[in-house]
Amino acid sequence: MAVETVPPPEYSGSKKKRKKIPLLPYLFLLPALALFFTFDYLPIFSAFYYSFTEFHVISPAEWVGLENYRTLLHDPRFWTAAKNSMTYFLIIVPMLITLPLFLAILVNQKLRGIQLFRVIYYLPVITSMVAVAIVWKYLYHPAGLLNAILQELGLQKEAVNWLLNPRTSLPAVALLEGWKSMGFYMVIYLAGLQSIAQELVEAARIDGANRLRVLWHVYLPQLRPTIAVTLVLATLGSVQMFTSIYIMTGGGPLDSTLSLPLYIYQKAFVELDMGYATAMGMVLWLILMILTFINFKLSRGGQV
Amino acid sequence: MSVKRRRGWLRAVKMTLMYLLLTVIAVIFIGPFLWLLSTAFKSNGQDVFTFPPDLIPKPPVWDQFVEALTVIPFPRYLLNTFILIVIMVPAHLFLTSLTAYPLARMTFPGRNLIFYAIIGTMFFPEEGKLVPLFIIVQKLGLIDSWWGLIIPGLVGGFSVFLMRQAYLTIPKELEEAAILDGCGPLRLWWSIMLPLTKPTLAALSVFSFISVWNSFIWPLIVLKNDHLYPLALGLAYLSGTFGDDVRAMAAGTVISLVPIIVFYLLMQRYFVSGMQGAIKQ
Repeated sequence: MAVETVPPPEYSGSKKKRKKIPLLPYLFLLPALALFFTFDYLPIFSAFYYSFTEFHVISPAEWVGLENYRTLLHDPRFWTAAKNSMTYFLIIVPMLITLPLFLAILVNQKLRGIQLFRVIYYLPVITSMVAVAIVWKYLYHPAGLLNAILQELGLQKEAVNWLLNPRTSLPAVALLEGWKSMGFYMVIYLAGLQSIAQELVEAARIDGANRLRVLWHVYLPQLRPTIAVTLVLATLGSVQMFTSIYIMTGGGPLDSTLSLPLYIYQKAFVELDMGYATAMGMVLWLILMILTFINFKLSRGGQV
Repeated sequence: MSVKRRRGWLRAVKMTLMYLLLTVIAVIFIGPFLWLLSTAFKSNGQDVFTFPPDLIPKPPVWDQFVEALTVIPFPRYLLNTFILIVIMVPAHLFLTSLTAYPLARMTFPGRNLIFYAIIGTMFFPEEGKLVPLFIIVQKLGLIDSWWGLIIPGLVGGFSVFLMRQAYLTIPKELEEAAILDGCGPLRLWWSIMLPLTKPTLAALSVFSFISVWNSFIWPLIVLKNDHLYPLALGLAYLSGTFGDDVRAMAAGTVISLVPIIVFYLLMQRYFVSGMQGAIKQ
């Protein structure tokens, strides 16, 4: 919503104090400003510098100009990670735009006990990614539940080692990621649905529109800003994927699940190549910032 | 009359199908948790990888929980997370309230600039600045200590934004009346304005609680000594060492999930209102 300002009343009625710059607001703000400066602005500024250096923590940073960025262009693992992040995006985003809308429509009905279903669908969102990734690792086990179900249904003859097969590993991780955040997007859609004027829906019904037509001609156009926000948030989430991959596959097998944040983590904190990792971080940060900016524009422009 | 009856019958079928659909979807979302729970209580003799999943442990045993709480240092991790929450949640709320107040209810030079600088930090997501943030925290000598977790997590642009919105909704008349009654600025903030933002404070504390409970990436980078690990990091560390012991890991995972799920169920209404409040901004 727009930034509104409430004209504050003056604390003392006397006129002589009016011209003085008040000290109190600055005192209130000081601790937070110091923290924001140190842990938000300083890292961004210093990242610019470190991305142009060779820096291995123990010895001081050494200026190397554009060397890191040049290395990056010829680093096959960087491109693999970038390609994988793109594939995660292509799987997760369509999933999180469509399915949660369906869920939201379902739980937006006035039914007895519907609150219980809302709570259940939202449950994975509040649990830690570490815990659910561990559980899903067992579900994907060759002798695990997923293989058993698929074999029972006759959909597959032999057990598949989902996470150790480079062809299935990435979709397997992406599926967990989508499952976990489904409820979050459901709530976003639910808020969107509840802001749609009921008269519109009723008018369409009176005009003889069936459910599908109501969805298509009333709900979807009204939900456009919500869909836009969902799109950007889901994109951000898919580009930032780290924990699920770290726990389930560690980026393997054969780098088939390696994402950009995970590769940066490995370079910086396993190989201690901080300069190069920072350069890659700048690229990632640029992508994230553009997406966050679009999101910010959309969520303020559209009345979500 | 028969038409009425038929309608009622049709409705009943429709309702049954609707609840069936809702339940099938519910199974997709809680199924993995139920499997985990049953695995955690199964004895060594019972195969945990069977189909149809044998959900009822026969007989249920506690051995894994005893193992998870004695052999594996789970109580340590639980205690660490608990301490971090007790420090971080109130500190976060206090600082956020303190920061948002003048931005909403006082006029002073530079107010808008400061406000935009603060919400501008939402443009720097954690994943994008991990390495430079680590370098700074290291220079401050906070690596491998809880201070390195606590201090950078004390404030956040989004929280300040949400809190400021809460202060903005308080009617001006209330403030004027208090000032007329001789209320000083500090007391005005602490005893009059702050209590009126309770719903937002509740939502913020729920978000903050969950984020500390589940925090993983930053602790992974900052902490070396595994005695300091919070729960999620400890769990990840153990899945590396005890990963083959499915039952013990399941028990440990259950221990890590139960408190947060109970907390969620209790605080659920703040959750939805907080979430929707956040979206509506």
